[in-house]
Amino acid sequence: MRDRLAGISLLPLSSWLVAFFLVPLGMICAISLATTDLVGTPIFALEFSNYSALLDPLYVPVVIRTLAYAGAATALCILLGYPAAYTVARLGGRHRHAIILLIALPWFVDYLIRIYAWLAILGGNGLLNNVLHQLGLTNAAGLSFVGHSYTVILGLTYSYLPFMILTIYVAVDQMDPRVIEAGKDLYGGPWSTFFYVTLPTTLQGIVAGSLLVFLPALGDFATVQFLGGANQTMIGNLIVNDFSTVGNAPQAAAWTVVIIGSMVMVLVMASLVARIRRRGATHRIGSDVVLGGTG
Amino acid sequence: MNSYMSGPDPLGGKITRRGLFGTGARIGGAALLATGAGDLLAACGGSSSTSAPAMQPVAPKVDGKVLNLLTYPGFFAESAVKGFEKEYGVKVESTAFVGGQELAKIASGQPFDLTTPIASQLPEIIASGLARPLDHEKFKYWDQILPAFMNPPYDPGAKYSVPYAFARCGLVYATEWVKESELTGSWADLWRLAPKLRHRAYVMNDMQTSMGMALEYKGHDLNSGDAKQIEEAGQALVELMPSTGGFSDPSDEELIISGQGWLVPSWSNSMYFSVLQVKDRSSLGFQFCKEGSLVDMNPMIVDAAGKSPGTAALFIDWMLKPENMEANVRQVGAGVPTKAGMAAYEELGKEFPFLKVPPDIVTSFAGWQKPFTAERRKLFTEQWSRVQAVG
Repeated sequence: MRDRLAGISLLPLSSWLVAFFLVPLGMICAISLATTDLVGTPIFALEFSNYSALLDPLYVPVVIRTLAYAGAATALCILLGYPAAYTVARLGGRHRHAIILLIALPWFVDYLIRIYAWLAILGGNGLLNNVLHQLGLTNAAGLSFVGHSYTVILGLTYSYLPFMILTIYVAVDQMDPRVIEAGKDLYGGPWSTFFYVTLPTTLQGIVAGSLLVFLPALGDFATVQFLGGANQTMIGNLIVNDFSTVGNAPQAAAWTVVIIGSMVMVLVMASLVARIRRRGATHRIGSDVVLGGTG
Repeated sequence: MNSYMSGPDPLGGKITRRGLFGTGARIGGAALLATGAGDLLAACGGSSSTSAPAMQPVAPKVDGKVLNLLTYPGFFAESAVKGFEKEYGVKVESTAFVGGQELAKIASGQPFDLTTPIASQLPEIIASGLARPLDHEKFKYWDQILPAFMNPPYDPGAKYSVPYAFARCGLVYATEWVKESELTGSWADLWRLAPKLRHRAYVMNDMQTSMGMALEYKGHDLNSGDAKQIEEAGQALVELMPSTGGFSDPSDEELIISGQGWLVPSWSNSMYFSVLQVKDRSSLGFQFCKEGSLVDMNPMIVDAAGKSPGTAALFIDWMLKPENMEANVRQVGAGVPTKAGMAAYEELGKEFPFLKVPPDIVTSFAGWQKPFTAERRKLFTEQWSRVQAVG
């Protein structure tokens, strides 16, 4: 009876997922195998060349670049996000929720507006160039901050940093502070306590945050479109351009399927690693117990 | 009064639009998901239908009190729109689109009454039954239209469209960093100067326009369908891209006004908006290139899915009225091939010389971009994919 009730209660959610996730996903998969007519309208077929076209060596740098940018942004988010989240969670006191709200506040503003803001700061006549020029550090031509790899990575980091901060914040907030005290009681210095106690305890937050940053960064296109330059195309840009400028929806769909497939693989691998780690930890504890018992 | 009225027959066709997000609204992409997905699932192995259902020509009359426009922001003068609302008691609701969205919206059957697509898309729009034929006889100001545009190549007999804003493509340059003496009036200037401009030169993120530009740079016809020539053009762009700042996204205007772009392919009406927004007009220069100017247009059409087709036709007729067209020309900075429109455009050209047009542009469609054939689109797409990969 309880199982039946549980099944019924899941029905709305299941229907929602089927209607608005699985069906569209199926359509994307179907379009990825389609051909097009004169105007680019997809026509059902089994056209695997849409996938084989992705193997063109031309796209290898784009794929590598996408992975590199997403990876670099994720790493930067960890480096910036962990201290921020840790500080807020541990030292924020009763204001910590308000501080977290402040961190998330810029994300109440539309994504494009925020990217435009970066353009206003880094552009040729932007704020940064004006300041540098006023300080006599550059000539009137200014420096070109837009159109570089670091600008794109900066933009990606800025865009997804709150995801990292929020997940790590939750992990640190939920951590029992007594484990740190226990680490210190066992003569652990600040660094060793951090590396052997705090970091492993909050690792799940880092992993979750990394996934939340890395996966959307893989499919991002607006950051490169606004802040990037030549030779900075990411896969997301190829998809957008296939859709909006060349009428090649099947190829865009093929890219989409590949990205979704990659994301699923990353998630599965992360899950496997987590499982192995848990098993390893259980095994170690078991061994320690056995060793302790015989010692 | 001018030579435009002597227009003979047309050649090949295509269009203009406001340079908003740079990318031309091509018939592809998102639009296709809208139409294509339905066909895809329904046809299941069949081909999508492109034959237009028979529709009665629509005459201008109020048949709905709300008119839904789907067009670029500010694409019609406010005075003309307000005047229409007051004259006929109709409320005009406008939905703004950026490149690539309008086809998705009308193809999905959203009930817009009037749209301004790119002219080269019209053959497909018409074939897909997305536009209503017009009853010219009932249009009060139909005779305002220049002769050539009563039978344009993109819409023979102008059965479905009324010409609106056209513009030409050239090179905008920041006079502080690109001296007029360095320019030779050729697309080759972009290739030659880009390496010296430290990634401040850009390429328009529009397949047909940029490939057309490269074809002309290589000495070929902008509408070439020759595979070898198209490959040459693609290669020229691939070689150009690394020395540029990439594509002129989010828009050429943004890059120019912000000072980020020093040498940027742009539309004459985009230049008009840019000049109006900079403090010092002399800080910007514009050159047309001797190889051609890739003329482009956004005509007005009555959408098949609209609920007030008569009101939409009436709106078009109202816009053809001389004083309204004059206001529109000043608003969009684009040429409009009507008597009043071209007169206003010529007047505007006295203050903004880059808006002047050679007569053959509106008499014989010289230098206009033509609609794609399937084969030419395929060849362009292949090369443009290469350009995108390094863009």
